[in-house]
Amino acid sequence: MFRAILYTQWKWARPVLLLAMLVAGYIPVDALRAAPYKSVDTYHIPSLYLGITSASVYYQLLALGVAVVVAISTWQADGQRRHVYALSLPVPRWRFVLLRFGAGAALLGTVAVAVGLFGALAAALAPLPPMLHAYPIGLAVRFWLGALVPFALIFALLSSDPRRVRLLVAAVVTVIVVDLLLASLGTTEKPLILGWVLDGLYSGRGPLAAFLSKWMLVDV
Amino acid sequence: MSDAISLKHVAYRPAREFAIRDLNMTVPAGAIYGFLGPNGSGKTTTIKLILGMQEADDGTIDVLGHTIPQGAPQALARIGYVPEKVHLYASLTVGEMMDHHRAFFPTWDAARAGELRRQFGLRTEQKIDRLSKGESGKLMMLLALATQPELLVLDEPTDGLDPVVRRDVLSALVEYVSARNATVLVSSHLVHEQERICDWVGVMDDGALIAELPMHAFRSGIKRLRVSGAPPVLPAPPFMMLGRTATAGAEEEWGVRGWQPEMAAWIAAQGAVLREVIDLDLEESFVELLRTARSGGVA
Amino acid sequence: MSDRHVVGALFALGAWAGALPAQTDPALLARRDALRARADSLTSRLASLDAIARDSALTVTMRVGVFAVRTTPALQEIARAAFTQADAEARRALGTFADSLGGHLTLTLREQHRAWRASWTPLVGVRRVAEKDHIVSVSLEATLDGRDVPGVLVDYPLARGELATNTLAVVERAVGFNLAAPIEPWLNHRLPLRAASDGWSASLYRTLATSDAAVVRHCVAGDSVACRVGFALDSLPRDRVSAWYDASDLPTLARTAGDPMQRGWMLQAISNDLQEACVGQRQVEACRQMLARLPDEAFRIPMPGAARESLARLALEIGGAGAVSRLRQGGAPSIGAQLAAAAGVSTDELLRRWMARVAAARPASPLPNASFVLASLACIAVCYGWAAKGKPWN
Repeated sequence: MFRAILYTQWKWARPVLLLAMLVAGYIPVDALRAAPYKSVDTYHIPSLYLGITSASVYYQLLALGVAVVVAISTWQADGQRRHVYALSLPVPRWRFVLLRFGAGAALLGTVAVAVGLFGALAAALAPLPPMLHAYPIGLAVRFWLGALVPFALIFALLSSDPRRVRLLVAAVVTVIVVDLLLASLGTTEKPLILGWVLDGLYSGRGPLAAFLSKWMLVDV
Repeated sequence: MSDAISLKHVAYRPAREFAIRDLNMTVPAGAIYGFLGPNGSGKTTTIKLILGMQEADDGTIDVLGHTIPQGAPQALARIGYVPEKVHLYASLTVGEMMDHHRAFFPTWDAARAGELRRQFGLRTEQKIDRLSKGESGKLMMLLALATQPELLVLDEPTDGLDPVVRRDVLSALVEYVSARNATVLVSSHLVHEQERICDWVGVMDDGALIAELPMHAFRSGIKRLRVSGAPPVLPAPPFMMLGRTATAGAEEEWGVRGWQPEMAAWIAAQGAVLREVIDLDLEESFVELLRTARSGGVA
Repeated sequence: MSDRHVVGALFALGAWAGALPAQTDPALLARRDALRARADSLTSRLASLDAIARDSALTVTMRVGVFAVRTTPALQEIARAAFTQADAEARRALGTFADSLGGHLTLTLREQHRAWRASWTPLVGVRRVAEKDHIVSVSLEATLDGRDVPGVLVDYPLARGELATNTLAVVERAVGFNLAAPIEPWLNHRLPLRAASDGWSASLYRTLATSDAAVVRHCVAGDSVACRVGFALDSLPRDRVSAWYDASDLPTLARTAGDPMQRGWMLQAISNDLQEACVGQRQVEACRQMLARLPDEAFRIPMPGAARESLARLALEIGGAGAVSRLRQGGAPSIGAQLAAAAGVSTDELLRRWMARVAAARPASPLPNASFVLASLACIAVCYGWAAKGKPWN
């Protein structure tokens, strides 16, 4: 059952996943370009480290992009047919959603594996100085978890009752408007609720905290 | 278990302008039940309630011994469903769709599926979004039949199909039903088609089931009487008066149900003359029922 | 007319007078000089009057541990609590030296008022709105034996812990400003007292391991001689470039060496071709030639300030109660000797322990930590729960 679901989702997201894997292969090559592929002594460690630090952002963008596309493609075919086929299958809804979610997570996992493999390969080709070490597995795990959170958020929105989504959007818009109004009346120095929400999302324990830290293929 | 499907006092309001009210419906096991009704009468909504795709506001639904919607997954494992519109994943091929469907139905009969595919002239590598309407209909019927269901729920299965494809689909259906003694609920507004294959009929209009009876009773029980000289007010008749319409002169046409020849004596006793008893075919009976129901008469 | 108005008028007059054509009339020139002198005296008088007005609010004088404190009645309670905490921490770090601070260090905690507040308006942004006078922050100032020590501004309302931390920072500067040469400039006039957090230590390790200078990287890799050279513990090397950097560092060094304000002047004597060959084409020989033409002052000690602080802190920790006093005693021939005197161990032993501590601070594997994993999984679970209950076909 899971294999069947996984196959359909793979087929729907295949072009993007393959492209993401290619990008996952290119990022470490680009990041380690500062390192000549000859010997450890001839390249400049700070430049190399800076390149790898910059690549962190590309990994994050890749994770976000692939998560959004996989989440949308997961529900697109069902949504087009108003979920009739899915509902005619002899599985409880929670289980079907779990299968779809699991398949999406697995597909994101394939990109994470590509990130890890290509990272390991690039790090092996560029001889690293003793002070720096490659962490392809750590990077892959971070990539996977980092991609799963936005995937889950969009997945949940797309599999919701449209009325609920409309209600949610209306509530969010109302809160923002009230927040801005209160701020403009001079009650607060800046929009409070928005500030809290953003602080919550991006705080160390927030769901988007992954995007605050660096995703380093090579570190000390 | 004598009833494959049983709906009791079901109420459901999917939209402000339409509601199903106090729906009672029974599909006996082994029956081919024709579910008739004009477009928008609530047939598809009722089918969705039966399959657990929508949840009723009130009443109880039992399908193959399972209470819906709680037992929908168990019931769906024994049901073959062909919806009104193509519901398959457009980007898959015929072969991939069959493999996908098989994964969810342990009762999938691969040999039978292959046979049907050849019989319907479908190729495994054909993409679903490139199939014609007829081919899509055949594929949906194939998927429904290959799971060897005890109950087939078909929502307008032949709507829009050309006569050749319609014949292919119906013959596959009849062949399966006769071999497996399965129950079939087939919704359609093509009355003649129902007349050929159904042994039970339910007629739905504006969210209510206005008639439910065996086909033979439906076919022979509804007559049109041409009567003259009837008084304006009549005592309760021994048959069911569906409708009474004045025609030319003192003549009237009565739509009646449960007519027996000996009831002519009752008409004579009212001082009226029975001029003619007209047999109605299924479509005319259907129209008569609808007309009666819409004019507020008792169906 | 207030003094302020008089000063303003005199400045305006002075500016106008300066714009006139050169005057030769001695009487007029004498009159101008007199007016300037009067303006100068009024400015300083205004400053002293301001100081008197500000100090008039400081009606509370108290002693908290080693600190003599002046503050306002409104801040008295929080000041007492925070300075008590700071005193305890300073005593822990300074040992017996803390007692010698008593009577020398005066802390002043002063209210900073404002009669407006910022109001945020969409499209317009932040604007000022008049409001009742209120305290917005508190300035913490210090003097050591009458000499001013740079202070800090702390947000109001005050938190005890934050004020205590800031107090320690001021004490670090107060003690650091009075160290014997050559260690005072080496420590950037600040003696570190507060213990380093794990995050700070990990960050230091990362900074050192990816330093622009080879000698620092070699030091972190375990080369104690490199550490000694990188810290300049014995003396500054004769050829700083060769001693501190390797070939791969030179193009970057050529791009960044020297005080940014003086780089333009320094590079005047170097041809553009040479600069391009070094910085643009990364030719090491060109870099060597270019760097050879820069003065020694362009190359500062490559070991970052944080590393130097950490070495000094370790010396104080090892040295115990009398460490600060020993550090403050001058006469040591080198920084290494001064730190070793404070620590009471040899320079090599001090360096060995410091290297071990730095090595231990190496950040763990960049695998996501447990709290991040839990937060992510919780978010995913909530999303799944929402999705499982959804009815998108409605």
